[in-house]
Amino acid sequence: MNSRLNAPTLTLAQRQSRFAAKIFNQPAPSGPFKRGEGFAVYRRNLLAVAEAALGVTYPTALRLLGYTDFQALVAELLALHRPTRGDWGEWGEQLPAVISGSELGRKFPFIASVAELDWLRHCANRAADNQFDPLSAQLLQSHSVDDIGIAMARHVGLTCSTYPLVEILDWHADSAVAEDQLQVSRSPRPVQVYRREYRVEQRYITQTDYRFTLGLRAGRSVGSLLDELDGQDFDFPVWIEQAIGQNLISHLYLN
Amino acid sequence: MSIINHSALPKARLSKVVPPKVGVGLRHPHYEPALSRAADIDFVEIHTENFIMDGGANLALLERARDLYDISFHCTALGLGSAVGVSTKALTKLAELVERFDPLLVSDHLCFCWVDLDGRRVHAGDLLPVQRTRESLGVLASNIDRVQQAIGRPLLVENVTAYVNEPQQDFSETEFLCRLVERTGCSLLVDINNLLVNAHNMDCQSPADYAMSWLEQIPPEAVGEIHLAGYTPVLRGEIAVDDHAAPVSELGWHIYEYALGRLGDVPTLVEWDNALPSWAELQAEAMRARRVGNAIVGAGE
Repeated sequence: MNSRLNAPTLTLAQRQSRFAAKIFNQPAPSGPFKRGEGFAVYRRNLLAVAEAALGVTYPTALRLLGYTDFQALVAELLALHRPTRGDWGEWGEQLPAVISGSELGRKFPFIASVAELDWLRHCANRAADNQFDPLSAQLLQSHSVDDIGIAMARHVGLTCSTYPLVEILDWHADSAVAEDQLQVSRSPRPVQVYRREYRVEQRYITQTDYRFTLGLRAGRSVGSLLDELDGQDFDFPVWIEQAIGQNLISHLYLN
Repeated sequence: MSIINHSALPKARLSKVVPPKVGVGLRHPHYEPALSRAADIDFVEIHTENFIMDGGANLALLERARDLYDISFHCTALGLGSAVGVSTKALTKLAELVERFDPLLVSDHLCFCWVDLDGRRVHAGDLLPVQRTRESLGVLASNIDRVQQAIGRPLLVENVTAYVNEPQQDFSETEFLCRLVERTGCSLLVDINNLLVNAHNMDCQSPADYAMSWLEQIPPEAVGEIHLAGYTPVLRGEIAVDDHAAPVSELGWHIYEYALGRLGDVPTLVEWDNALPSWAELQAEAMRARRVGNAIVGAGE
């Protein structure tokens, strides 16, 4: 059996690649398996591990989709994006896009948005612990804001959606949240994901907060962003005081 | 040819484990009961891949676990038998974790995980069986050397289940493992459940005879740890899967007694990864292992 796997002209690396290809290149069946169906076991194991990993990464999407549809989408993701790292926790960022492109995703488009929020929460949960560098704040005394950038804490994530993402997550965490709060908004509402100690939370932020934070993450100076937001309801001293107090900033730097 | 200076490795780290040390796999649903107060177990084993993030609650939980128990690091994704090599990033992360938590034991499997597929380096997501050839032995020796150099201590290498039988093998499994020990200075993690699963899948008339014969071919001084687990029973002719979803079978306990009688003071871990029991039930399995250890090796000697 499998004589082609062991063709003497192949290197060990090629034989191992062929072995793995036999696992990845066919869908995972369900068991039980008869002797001689060993590759089917590996295919099923691969899918089961992927499902378990993504069930942790996307808990809300899993509950919204249900196990059967979630499993089908994970299988599709595996076929499109094979794991390239040993850590399953780093795999699966593309699941929201796979959901979007699916029939279910087209029928219930909010699920992909919820999945994006799940991913941000997952990343925040694993992000480096943050401790603001207070010495870097002295740059505000010595330099113009045109020359200063701000590095956000690694746990801070941003997304934007017309769907009531915060309420949907709250609703799944606590069914006491009233269903009439689950209303679609006319314009996208920015959501910030962040970590309070080790607890990941999410909240709506203003459009100006959102644009300012996005600009900082793109490496723009505080001054250029304040110019852009001039005339809008944005108070930088208040913003930075709150951001430091809530541990959302890593440090200030010369841009 | 091994590049590592084996005499410089801290062998005492393994010999620190005196009988009867018994541990359990620490899995997420048991964090609360296991970490709220110390249970009557000697060590807990974690899968390192669940703790190689940059920060957050999991690492804080691992700190807490270390305060209560000795910790064993069990890796599932290095892919020691991968001909394309071990991931430098994964190895760096493991070395950082070892440096930070100073685990009692560090282990991985006799398998490959990394391959090049369609021009990309891919992780196959499972413990794929290595061909037991001279070429494969060289790959494993080189990769294990690299890991041991990175973590500054010997690695334990675990025998795995194989669901596909490779026809071309230069060595038996035990001979292959012994040569690996000779070449690298690594130790062996003997998984008794994997022996029984393989025996079933090879349609052995007597899985007990197979497992005991296998153990007889392994030098006792090469073994640094034993894994106990159970698997979901299947019908004859069907493939048994090492799913760690059941208690240790009575046959498993029998083989464990035989193993301890032959191997002596070997720390033992009860693995249970799927269909998890309560924390109390898991501890009861560990206590049974302790009783067997006391009976076979001798308590407190």
